Amino acid sequence: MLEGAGYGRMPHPTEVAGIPFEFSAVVVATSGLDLIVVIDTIAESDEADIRLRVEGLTRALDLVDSRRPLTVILVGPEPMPELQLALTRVARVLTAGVSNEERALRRGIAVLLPLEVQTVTEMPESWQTARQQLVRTFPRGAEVVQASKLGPDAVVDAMRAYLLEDDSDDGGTP
Amino acid sequence: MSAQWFDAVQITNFRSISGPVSIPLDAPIVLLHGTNGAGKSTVMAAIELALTGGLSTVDESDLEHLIHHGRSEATVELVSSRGKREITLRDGEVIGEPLLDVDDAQFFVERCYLQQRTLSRLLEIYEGDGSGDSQLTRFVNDLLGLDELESLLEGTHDLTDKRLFRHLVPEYAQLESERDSALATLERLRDQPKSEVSAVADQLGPILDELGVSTESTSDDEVEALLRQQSRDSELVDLTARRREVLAIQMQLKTVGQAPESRELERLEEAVRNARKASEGWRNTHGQALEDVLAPLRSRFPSLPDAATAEDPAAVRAGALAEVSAVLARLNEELTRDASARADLDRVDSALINADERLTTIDTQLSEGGSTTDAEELAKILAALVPHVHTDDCPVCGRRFGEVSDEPLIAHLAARISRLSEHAERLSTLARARLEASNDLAGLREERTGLEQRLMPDEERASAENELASLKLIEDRLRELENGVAAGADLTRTLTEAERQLVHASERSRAFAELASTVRALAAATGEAEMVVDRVEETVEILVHDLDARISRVERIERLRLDGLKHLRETREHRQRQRALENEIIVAQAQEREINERIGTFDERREELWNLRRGAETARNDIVRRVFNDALNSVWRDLFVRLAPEESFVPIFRVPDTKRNRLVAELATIYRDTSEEAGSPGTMLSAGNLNTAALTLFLALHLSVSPRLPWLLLDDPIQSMDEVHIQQFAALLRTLAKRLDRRIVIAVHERALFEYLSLELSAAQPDDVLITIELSRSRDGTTVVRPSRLGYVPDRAFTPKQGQPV
Repeated sequence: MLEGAGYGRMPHPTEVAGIPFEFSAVVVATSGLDLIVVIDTIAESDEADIRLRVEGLTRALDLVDSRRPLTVILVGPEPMPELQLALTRVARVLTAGVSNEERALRRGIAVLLPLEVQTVTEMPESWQTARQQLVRTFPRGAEVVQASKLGPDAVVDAMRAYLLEDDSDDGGTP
Repeated sequence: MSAQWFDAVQITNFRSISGPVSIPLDAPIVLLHGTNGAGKSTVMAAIELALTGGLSTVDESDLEHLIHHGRSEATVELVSSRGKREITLRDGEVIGEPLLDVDDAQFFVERCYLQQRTLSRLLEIYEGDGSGDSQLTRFVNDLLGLDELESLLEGTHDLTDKRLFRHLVPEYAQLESERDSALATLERLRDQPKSEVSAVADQLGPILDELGVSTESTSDDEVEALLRQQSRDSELVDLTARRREVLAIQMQLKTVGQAPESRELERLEEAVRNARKASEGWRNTHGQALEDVLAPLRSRFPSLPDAATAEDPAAVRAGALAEVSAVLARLNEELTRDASARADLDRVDSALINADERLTTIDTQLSEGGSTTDAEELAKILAALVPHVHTDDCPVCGRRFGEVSDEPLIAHLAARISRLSEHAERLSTLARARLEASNDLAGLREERTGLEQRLMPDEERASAENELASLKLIEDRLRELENGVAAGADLTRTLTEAERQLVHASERSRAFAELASTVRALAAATGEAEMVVDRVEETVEILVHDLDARISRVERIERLRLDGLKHLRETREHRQRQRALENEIIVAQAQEREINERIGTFDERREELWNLRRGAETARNDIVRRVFNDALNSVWRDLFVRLAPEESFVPIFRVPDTKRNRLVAELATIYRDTSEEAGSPGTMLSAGNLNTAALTLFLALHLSVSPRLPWLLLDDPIQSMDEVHIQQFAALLRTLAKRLDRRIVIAVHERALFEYLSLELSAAQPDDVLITIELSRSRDGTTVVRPSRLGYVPDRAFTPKQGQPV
């Protein structure tokens, strides 16, 4: 799934700063710096070992002043919270669960996947344009529309002012 | 794309920024850091000002406060390869052309620029309880400028109902009621009767006929002039005056009575002559006698009148008598008093002789008895001896008393003292008696002196006695004359009465003659009555009768004439009233027309406003429908799931179909997996995820439309996110920048967060760059900007041979 989304798997075992690391899989972004480590918690059940290895990896990254942000994907039964907490200190931790269902898996690692954005081509009609439209259609209500900036009471006042306006001022009444 | 991103912004003395600063912005992501108050939000606001020419959160009236304290103007300058764009704030005015046109500016404010205020409002809405929906609506309204629309709809609500409209514009209701009352007035005026004029004219005809005034072809004015000419007023006045005169004469005639006949006058003259003769006779006899008596009295009583000529000789006599009697009484009294004084003097003289004798006797006794004090002194000395006498031996000479007497010495001594005391007592009594006697004597002498003074001198007494005797004689004489004088008084009275009757009769005769001549003159003036000289009363009767008849005739004509004038006046008034009524109807009609016109104007304007309201409603519904579309929900859901992968609910907007005209977007949640509806976000989402929902909503609003401006300005959007969320958010920012080509300017105030993001967002490719800017203040308050441009650094994590993913 990741490989189809701009990531590439590293050869096994992966060497970082010349030090080989054993993980279920190591993936890096092709156009970014993301370094992703996949750990199968069924195959690798020794939590202390997992922690040692992840921390070792981050040390190795530091050693070479790498800026690669590390993401750990835990596949399988969720490990103890202590381990998760310890890992969170050094890496982004995602849990993919035990399900083989793609949707669940995708959800777990969603943040790593590209964002599919459906956009509406046109900006929805906004109040600004609607207001211009209204004022064009009802030029004599312009004051009332203008007053809406100051709240409903101002609208009422403007409306009253318009209704009570002297005929002779606008000259439009019979 | 209508506007290009720019390379830097230069800010001078704007808000909290003091002095000129330059912020480089030519990187996909610009990360801004500074402690609170260092000027992060100011940089954001400066960009907004330069782009839109205003600040969405600041009123125009407050613009002058945006200039840094103590400076006169602020400038914000956008710098790009194409040139500069400068906006200056001076004296509360914005000078300069903003970069964006109106539509772009609106897009920027609504969908590109997440202000702290907006985010905190979002959070408030989510954290709110059940009322969150309406708050959210308000937020969305605010963001999209729909508040104005809401105000417009709320303000115009009263247009929808005539009753509410009347309440809104009481003037309208007033006009309506004025119209009703104008119609009622018109109705009433039109119903008024018009036949009154002819009725009055009918009454006038016979009157004019009787007065002999022709009404044919003459106007009201001419008729009135004729009637006025015919006035008999002066005649009536004349007749009435004459009648009053005749009546007065009638009254006088009654008072005068019949005229005396000539025989009676002669008889009265005879009686006067007789009475005068009798009176003369009396005067020569009794009258003379009385005068004789009175004559000597005149020297004493000068005011006595002459008895012969006096009208009432009896009174003269009585007056003289009274005066004489009074003098007699006084003389008698004086003489009596003198006699009594003489008797008293005799009595006092004899008493004086007695008192003298008594005094002489007392003096003799006193000279015989010696001095009172001697006897008393001796008695005291002897009494002092008594205690020294114990035997019969004399304490003075020492010899025994027995030699001279058998009596004991002490007894002798006591008897001696007693005698001496008695003698002293008697002498003292005598002295008191002498004092009294001498007092009596003095009193008597004094009394005698008084009496002597009261005594009348002898010659005076003699003259009084003489006068008494002569007056007594006169008094007697006056008494004798009583009857004679009384007769004289009667005669005088008779004469006076006769004379009076004579005068009265001749007076009456003269008055009657005068009245008769007046009546004759009146009869002649009246001209109709035949004068009956013998019977003046009858003549007067006829005159009165004749005048009465003439007066009542003239009065009747006058009455008719006045009636005629009155009717004429009424006719005229009726005509005027009729004309006034017609005018009133014309005025009322005009008024009604005018009111109707005004109501028409009102209705027209109301209709116009109502259409305006409908237009606004339609616009609102369109906006709501189009903003809260499926695209928004889809993007929002994607963003939310990214940042909160563990959350099983997803927030959405729902625009329920409603029969009301108003569409309201509601906030709801659905189950992520099944899309079943769940409760409101406030109840379904955790606090952290509410935060996420708020942030993602804004990003979704930005992403759900085509990127008119692919820019995002986020002012401190991460204020209370936990670490997981921050990590996910950083990834999302990277995605936005690197994959969706958004220019992002993000401000954070936590140092750790800033450093974390610097790392997370750092350049991943050779042409990539991240700008971080640290804002702070120097000691003198000047804003200090430290920008760093973090370019690409080749990663050395993987060795070249295995550096590329397979």
